[in-house]
Amino acid sequence: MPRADAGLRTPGIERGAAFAIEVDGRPLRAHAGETVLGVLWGAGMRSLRLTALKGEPRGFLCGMGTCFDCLVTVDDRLNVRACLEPVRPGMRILTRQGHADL
Amino acid sequence: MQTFDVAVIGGGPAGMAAALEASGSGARVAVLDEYGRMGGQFFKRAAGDFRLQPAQLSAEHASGERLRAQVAEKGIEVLTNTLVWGVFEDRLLMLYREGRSIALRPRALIIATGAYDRPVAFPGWTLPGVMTAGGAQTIARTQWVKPGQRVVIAGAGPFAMPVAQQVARSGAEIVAIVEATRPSEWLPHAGALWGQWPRFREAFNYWRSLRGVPVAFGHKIVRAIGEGCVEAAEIAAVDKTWHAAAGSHRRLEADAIALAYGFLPNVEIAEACGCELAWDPFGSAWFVRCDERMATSVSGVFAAGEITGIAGSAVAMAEGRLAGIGAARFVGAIDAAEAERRRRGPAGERSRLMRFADALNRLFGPRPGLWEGMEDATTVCRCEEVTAGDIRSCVRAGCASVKGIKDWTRAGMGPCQGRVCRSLVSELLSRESGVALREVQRARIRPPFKPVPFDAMAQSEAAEAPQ
Repeated sequence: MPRADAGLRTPGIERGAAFAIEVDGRPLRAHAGETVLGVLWGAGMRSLRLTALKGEPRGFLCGMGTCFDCLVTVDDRLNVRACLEPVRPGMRILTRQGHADL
Repeated sequence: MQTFDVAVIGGGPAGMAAALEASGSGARVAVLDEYGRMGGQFFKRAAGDFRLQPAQLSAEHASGERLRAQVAEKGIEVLTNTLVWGVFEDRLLMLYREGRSIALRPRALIIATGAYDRPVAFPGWTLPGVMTAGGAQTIARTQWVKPGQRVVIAGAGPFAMPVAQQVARSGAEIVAIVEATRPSEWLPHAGALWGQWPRFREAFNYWRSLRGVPVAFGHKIVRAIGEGCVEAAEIAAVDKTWHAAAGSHRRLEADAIALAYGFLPNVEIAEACGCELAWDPFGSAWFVRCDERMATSVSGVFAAGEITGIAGSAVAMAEGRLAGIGAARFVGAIDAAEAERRRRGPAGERSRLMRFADALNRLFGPRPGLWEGMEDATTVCRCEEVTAGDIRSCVRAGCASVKGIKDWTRAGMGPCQGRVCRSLVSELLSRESGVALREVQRARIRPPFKPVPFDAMAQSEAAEAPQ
């Protein structure tokens, strides 16, 4: 998966309590008050899913719940908009390959 | 849940102002907001878990907090995380909230659903790292995450400034602001600035904080380049119609591109309500038609804010107050004379500010060259992966409506329900068929407006006891 050069979290910001979540089977640090998109993008993950037909990588377009481009699976819930979903301790996230059932 | 005199859809600047005014007139008011917190896009902020320094808060942070607090103190019912998924006859609203579908029928309705960034399609715009300016601002402000390490902001108009400021604060480098107009075009509109003194202060503050950021006037984005994510932006000089000049193309190394080509009004709910729309040639979009009391063409339904015309938060709040007064009058909470008295302040404020908003819309509205980036291989419907070429051949084969294109190609049928591609498909249809954009037949808006689990819909319940 393509990653940015380094993490994109702004350094020196006092965030909420840190905890671990699981992304594609691997642990990732998250903070209370962040969204799933904030955690993934902040960790430098750019491709949040591959499209169903052409297998193209997608990130996020609008960041406000309108475009449905940043869909991921959260704790077995399909098609969750990463930009609107607050992150919680122990959350299991799957960045996705194609459309799941809607 | 009790019955409500007035329901306000959307808790942004317009919706909060509307709710306060209606409630202050004695009406029982509910605000329905799709997000977890009121404020809309203008007053968005990081969650309380972030312990931010005063200098890290946005300029509008304090007024947003004040408005939210006022709404809470007034005994207004605030339903957050609440999606309005359908609107049926006589203001019957279907809500989706906490996994359940609920029916609500207020006596008057105020629609304040705001706007979203205008999508612009060009080669590479589906690459991760291409985002709307609003999206870049949101991730920087609410998450304190950089949109990228090196960000290009391409657009037209003043919204690029607060976005650039927020993105710079997040620690990213602003490679350039790519502005489609040239300052020489602004001069004829200078008259509209007279009396808009707070705007000068804002502009000065932005100018000061963005010193050193390169601005490419008279340029636009033509291509996003990269394998798997954005690695560079290609920009080009444009003429007055925003067509790219041959040989003027230039590559900027960047890993994020933010698009700030204005806004489209979120009119779906109003449209589904049966409200008449009005075509705005400058914004190249349909807005909700309202009278000066913010009443729509449907009795008991009012509209406020960006869905009635892109004009910014101050106008949105004035309109919210007018709509709140209108709705309070409609349900009989105040008499006609009291309504007239209350209207004077916000009505004057609105007409004063509208001059400025009109000038901005004329000057920075999209021009024809903005759409030339839709090459045949360019994806237009991102959800269903339909290209401009697919849509063109559909039109050439005889398709004459957005609905027809949707049926044949699936463009607009995906989870975003056409919010991203509808304006692009209309543009392509208009160009390919020679039918004027405003004459292009729109697809009907149908519930659910956003995806809702079918079992919840099937088990919808009433919010109120029968009266």
